[in-house]
Amino acid sequence: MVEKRLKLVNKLGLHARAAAKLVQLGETFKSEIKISKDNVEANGKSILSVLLLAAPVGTELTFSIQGPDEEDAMAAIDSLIERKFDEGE
Amino acid sequence: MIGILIVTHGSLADEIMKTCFKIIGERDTVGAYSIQWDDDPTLATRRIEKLLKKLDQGDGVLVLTDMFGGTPTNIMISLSKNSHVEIVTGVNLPMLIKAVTTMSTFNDLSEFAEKVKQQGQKNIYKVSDILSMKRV
Repeated sequence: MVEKRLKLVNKLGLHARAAAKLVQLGETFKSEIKISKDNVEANGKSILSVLLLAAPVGTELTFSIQGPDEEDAMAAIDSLIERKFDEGE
Repeated sequence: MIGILIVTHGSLADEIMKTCFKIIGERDTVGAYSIQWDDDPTLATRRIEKLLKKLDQGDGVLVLTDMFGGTPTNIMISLSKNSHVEIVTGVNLPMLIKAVTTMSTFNDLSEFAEKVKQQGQKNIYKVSDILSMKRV
């Protein structure tokens, strides 16, 4: 299992479209993806679950990924967040 | 593959579909029919019937309507006698997103409708409850 804390840097945080992009990216990997913040843990492959995290800009999320492609999945997610979900701001 | 059709009063059906597509991307096996206030119900029924046939790719169509007892639901009940549909009322955005993102994983229409109903109900929150849960 790989675990990493990632900070949201895009202006709107983990809003609906960003959550959809994150989940769609996650679905391309076989590994199980868990995202946690405070006491809430979300399934990284379910948009409604991810939205429950209610994470604005500046939030640090803990990603725990387990499976055959866990390293690649973490790298891809890290890159998506760093690229501000390709939203420009 | 199961199809999805949203049928409501006013423009809600088209708008909720557009909103869903804006979030998760467009899908071609999802349709909407908004019954405007001055529409002729007989004409609306014929048009919806055509749309149903287009969306049914063999495993039936899940119909999401706004409210039990309203014209959109009543029209769908009348059409259900001659088509393979399941109707779930009270369409909301989380329900629709869940339905559209999981439709390809179901073959059984009744099972799919049950799951979508549960998700639609489950994803209604009193926000202060969620926020207080996070503070614990």
